[in-house]
Amino acid sequence: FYIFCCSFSGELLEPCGHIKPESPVVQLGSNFTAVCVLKEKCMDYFHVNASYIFWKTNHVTVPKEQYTIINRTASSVTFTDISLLNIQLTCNIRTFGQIDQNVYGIRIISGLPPEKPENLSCIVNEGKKMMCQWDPGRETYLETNFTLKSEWQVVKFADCKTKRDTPTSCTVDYSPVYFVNIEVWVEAENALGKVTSDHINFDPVDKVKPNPPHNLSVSNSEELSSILKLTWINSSIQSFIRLKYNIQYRTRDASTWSQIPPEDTASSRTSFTVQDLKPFTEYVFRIRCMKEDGKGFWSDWSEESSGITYEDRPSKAPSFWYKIEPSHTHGYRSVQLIWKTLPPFEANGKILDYEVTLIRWKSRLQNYTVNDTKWTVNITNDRYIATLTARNLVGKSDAAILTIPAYNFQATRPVADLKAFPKDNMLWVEWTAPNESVNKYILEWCVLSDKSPCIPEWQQEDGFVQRTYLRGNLAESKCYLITVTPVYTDGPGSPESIKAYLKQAPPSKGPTVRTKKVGKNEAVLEWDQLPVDVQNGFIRNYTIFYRTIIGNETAVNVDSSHTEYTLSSLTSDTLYMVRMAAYTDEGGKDGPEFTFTTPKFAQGEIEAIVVPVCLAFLLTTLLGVLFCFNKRDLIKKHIWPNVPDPSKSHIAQWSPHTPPRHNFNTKDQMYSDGNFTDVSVVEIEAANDKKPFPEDLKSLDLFKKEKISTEGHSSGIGGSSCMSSSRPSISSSEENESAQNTSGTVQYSTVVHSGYRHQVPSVQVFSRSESTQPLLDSEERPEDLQLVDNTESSVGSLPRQQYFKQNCSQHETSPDISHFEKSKHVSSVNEEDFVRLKQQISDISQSYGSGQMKMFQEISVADAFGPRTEGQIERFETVGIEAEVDEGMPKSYLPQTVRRGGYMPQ
Amino acid sequence: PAEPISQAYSLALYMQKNTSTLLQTYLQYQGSPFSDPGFSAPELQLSSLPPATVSFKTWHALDDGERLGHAQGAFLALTQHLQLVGDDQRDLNPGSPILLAQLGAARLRAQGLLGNMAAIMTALGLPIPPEEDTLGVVAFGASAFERKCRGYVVTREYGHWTDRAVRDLSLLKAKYPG
Repeated sequence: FYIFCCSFSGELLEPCGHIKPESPVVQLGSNFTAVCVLKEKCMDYFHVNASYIFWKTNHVTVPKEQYTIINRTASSVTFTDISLLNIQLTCNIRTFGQIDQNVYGIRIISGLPPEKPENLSCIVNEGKKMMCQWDPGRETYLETNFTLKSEWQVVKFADCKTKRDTPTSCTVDYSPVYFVNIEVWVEAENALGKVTSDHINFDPVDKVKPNPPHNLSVSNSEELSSILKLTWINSSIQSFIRLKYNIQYRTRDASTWSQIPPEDTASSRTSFTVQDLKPFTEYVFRIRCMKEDGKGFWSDWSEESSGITYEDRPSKAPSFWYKIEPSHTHGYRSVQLIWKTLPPFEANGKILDYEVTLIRWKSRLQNYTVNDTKWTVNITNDRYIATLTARNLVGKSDAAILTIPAYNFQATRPVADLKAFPKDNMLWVEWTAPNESVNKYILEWCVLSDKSPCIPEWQQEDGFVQRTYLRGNLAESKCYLITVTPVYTDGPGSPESIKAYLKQAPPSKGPTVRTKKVGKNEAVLEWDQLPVDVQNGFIRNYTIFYRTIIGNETAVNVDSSHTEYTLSSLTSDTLYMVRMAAYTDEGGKDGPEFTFTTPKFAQGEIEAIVVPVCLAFLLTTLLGVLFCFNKRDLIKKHIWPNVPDPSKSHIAQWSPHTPPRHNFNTKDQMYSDGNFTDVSVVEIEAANDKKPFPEDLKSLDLFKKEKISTEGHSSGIGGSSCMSSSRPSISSSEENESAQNTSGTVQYSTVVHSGYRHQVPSVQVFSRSESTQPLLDSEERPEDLQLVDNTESSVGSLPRQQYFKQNCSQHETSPDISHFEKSKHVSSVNEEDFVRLKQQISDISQSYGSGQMKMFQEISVADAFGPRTEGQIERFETVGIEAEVDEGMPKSYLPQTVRRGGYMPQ
Repeated sequence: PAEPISQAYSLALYMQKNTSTLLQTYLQYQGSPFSDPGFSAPELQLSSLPPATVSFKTWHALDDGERLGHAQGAFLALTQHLQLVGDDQRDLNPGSPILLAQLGAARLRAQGLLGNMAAIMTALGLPIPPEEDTLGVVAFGASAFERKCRGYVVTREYGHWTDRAVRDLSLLKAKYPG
């Protein structure tokens, strides 16, 4: 830092004063006082004295309170409890003009005195020099030197100075002298103090760490397969101290070492024989040593060395079992004898081959030597005894004996209480032994799967074992079928099987649920058992979840034995979503969701509603019809007035013959057109046509026929009235009725005409017609009905002919008659057609109805009031014909018109 | 006193294993005739170094104090002489650290044995004889050959005295069992 100096007469730069102490080292936390002494020259030059002095630490002015002015030239500053490790302290003066001048500066170093080193210990690595180490104690913040001192009673050794990088240990530079006690201590020293550790006094030979024994070698003995002899070379220290050893060994594949009891190796030696080893096993050895009395340190471990014990005869007979395979030769069986290679600890050497003997019941022994672990032989159906021995270099194992029972032998005496359970990641099998003594047990197991066949693995257990685990690579989530077969002296007992899992898991797939039947309020769900490959465990139960779209999910638990479940209390006409989860002990898995809709009506409900309704309707209709039938005269009486037959009336005779004949023709055609008086007939037909039922048709027919037949007897007026009255009975048209009524009366008087106009038939007309009532009775004669019924198709012809004969014989045959004949023929051929056609006609006639009716009305009026000119009538005829043609069915139509031709006589 | 005796005995044995090596190494470095095979000069003696040879009868007649005293005196002289030989060899054979190390180790062990014997004497309550300068000023100014001969005698006598110390301490060990 900058120091202000005063220069006089070109002399060397000289500070204006100085601080004492010059370079202090202060213990942390202690007090410190520094004094600044100014030089007289300076004081004169700057005109200052000690009171002008101020102090700075690390460029910060120290408060005046810490200053003490000692005299004119000296001022001191005192610091208490120094905590900084490194302080720059400067002495300054404030000269005239407030200019600060730096007079002198020092650096205060602070730290701690060393602590007493502890835990001093020394080690003599064989062949090297002694090394000692210690704990240095707390951090001093100062450069601290450690010195290792050592001395004999009569000799002082050179100090051992620590190196900077290893301040806590030191290696002396003289060779150790064993058997002479040495005193060792450590001195720690820094600027604040010097401290000495406790002295330790020891013989270096008691601090020796020998070099490990070397050239360790292992040799076996052909006489004893259980021993290995170790030899080694000791380190040179063994020449003047005695050693003890640690010998450790392990098998080649083991990771932990076994140690030979230390008391067996507690004295100096160069060889050792390790006993109780397994035959034909490779062992690895290592050795270390230390001073026999235990003073000092263990050497490092020697290099490892290994050796193999000599072979011994196999200690156990191999596991031995057989499988019977079907043989093609009659009377022989193919037996596959199978056995397991002995594990190394039982083989005790390299197995060279196996010796199999077969003894047929009370027969000679057969000997075979096999290299494989299976051997197939054809034997007869007799009982055999097979033995198996394994052979190695040294000898043969005991024989495994297996009785192969005769062909017809019935196995009995199974094990009881067979259980299988996983534990500690192994699959344990437990059973209760049968009462009889068992030679051994054979456990067979395989994975149950739909994808692959059961390929059993097997293992053998001794006869006293009742609990074992499966020694194989078992997989989790696989179903194992485990079979336990006890083997007795006279052959195997009957096997017992059980299924088990090493570890269950939730099923990999959920069951697929579907509906078997869906009712209005219930649904029968069904599903298939999960395949064994996806079960991953024992299915303990199922849970069915179902819900509507908006509703909460409902869960139902179902026992795993079921494959069907009925959901009840469902809402009708609702979409349900249902899925199913299968649970093992480890969890469950959902299957796919299935959707179904409950129907609005239960099965048969519609039928239950519809059938009675239909029946009721039918019954009502029937009753109605029957009623109508029974009371038809009454109804007739109520609805239709009795219209006297105009032809039978006396008034009819008044009418001239000719015009009516013309009229007849026109009328005939007019009927078809649905014309007025005559037209009304057409209307009836139309009305008739509206009835699709055969009964109606029949009744209509009946009516027709009755009329026709009666017409024969009755007067023209009566018949016509009957006809006219029959028409409305079938038709429901008011208009027609009124029209017909009117038409019925037209013939008699003009009064009707007005009646028609006003749509009110004259009462007087009815009263008149009532007088002819008796005529109608004949129409209803049952005999006639019968006749009509019996001769359904042909019936129309006779009365009509009669009718025509009676009424129309006088007239030359008109085209109409030929029409009639033709139509009659047709009608007899096909009544159904007839009906259909009539329907069509009625449709058309109705549509024509209103317009034509007016026209015809005029005509009929004209007719009624007097004869017409031919031309006029002819025109009508053509019109009628045209109409017929238009309708397209004159044949079927005509008979009707002819029948209605009750008017013809008019 | 068993412990210091035992320790001294162990040290003596430990030294004994190295004495012949030391002598062989020494002769090997001195050149002919010392390095010749079968070199031996039993007649050479050093007046400053007491001879180790003593008749069995005389040796056996010694009491503990005398026996230890003789050994003590001899090893005291040996340590000084070994130091001298070391110095000589540093001049004569500067490039022979093995020899120098062995000489140094032998001297150090001799010093150690001195200490151990002092401990035994203390333990047995015997007076420890004062240390005296056996070499004086005589040693200096010798020729190289003289120095080599001197070294030969010292290393040989070191062996002899070590053998005798083993016998001494063996006797003491038997006398004062632990």
